[in-house]
Amino acid sequence: MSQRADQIQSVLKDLVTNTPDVEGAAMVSVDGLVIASVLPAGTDEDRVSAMAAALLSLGDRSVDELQRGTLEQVYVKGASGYIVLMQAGNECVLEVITGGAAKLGMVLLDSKRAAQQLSRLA
Amino acid sequence: MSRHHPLAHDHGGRGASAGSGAVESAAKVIVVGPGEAGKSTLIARLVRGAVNLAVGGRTVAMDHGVLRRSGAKVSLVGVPGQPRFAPVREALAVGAVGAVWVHPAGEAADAETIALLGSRRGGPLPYLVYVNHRAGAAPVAAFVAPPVLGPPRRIVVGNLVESDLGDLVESLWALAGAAVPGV
Repeated sequence: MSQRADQIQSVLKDLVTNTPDVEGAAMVSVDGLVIASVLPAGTDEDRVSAMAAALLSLGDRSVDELQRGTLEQVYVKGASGYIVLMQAGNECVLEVITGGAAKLGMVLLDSKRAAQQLSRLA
Repeated sequence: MSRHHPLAHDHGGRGASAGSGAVESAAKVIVVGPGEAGKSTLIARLVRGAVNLAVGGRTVAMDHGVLRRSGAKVSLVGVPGQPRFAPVREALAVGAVGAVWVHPAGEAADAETIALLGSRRGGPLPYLVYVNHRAGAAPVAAFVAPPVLGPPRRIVVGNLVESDLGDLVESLWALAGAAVPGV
């Protein structure tokens, strides 16, 4: 694996390890291809990445149509946790998956920091 | 900018009326087919200002445009064609009454589209086929209906960039009208 790939993987691992209740993370290209991931076992990272790109694209268009400014995040709340998406540079998306007890504020804070690091590596 | 078809009425992503009180009959039709078949091109030609959510020319989320006439509307939803977007296609297909299958001439019917049209509870989704030929190529109807889906309601042959789309538009309204009274 290249040094840059190692660094990207390391950022994702740190996010999953150090943020309570974050269960997985992935860096995905805006056209839905996985760049790196630390996801729960059994997750189909190809499908998850494609859906992440589609969700972010729809979110971006929705805020534009409804004149809500620039898209910052998309998040989806399930009964067992959250999925949070945010841009990590112009061409990449950070996807974060949490458990049901996650403190969303902490997750968003750490995710934003990770997204900034990833945008420098992308 | 692609040519706008005279039989299709304008409706892009913006400028919809806030509500005149009139009730419109409405039907949702999905536009399907493999990657780079011409789905986005078709919708863009039929509806001025249609929405296309794409990266690098490839649809990653959807296309959308609305055809209107005489108090009825057909909501055209284009799906992304790349295989990895299967879940997005499945989500977009919910509630559709029919499909327009954009099929590249000379190719076999793609498995993802067959699966999508055949996955509806209650039987396969009714569909039309547009066999899309390269510009300048002789138009030959070359579509073999997958047995699991049954025959299409209509096969239209042409080139999405150059051909007149009148036949397709009329067939599309007929497809929607067969499912939704008043359309």
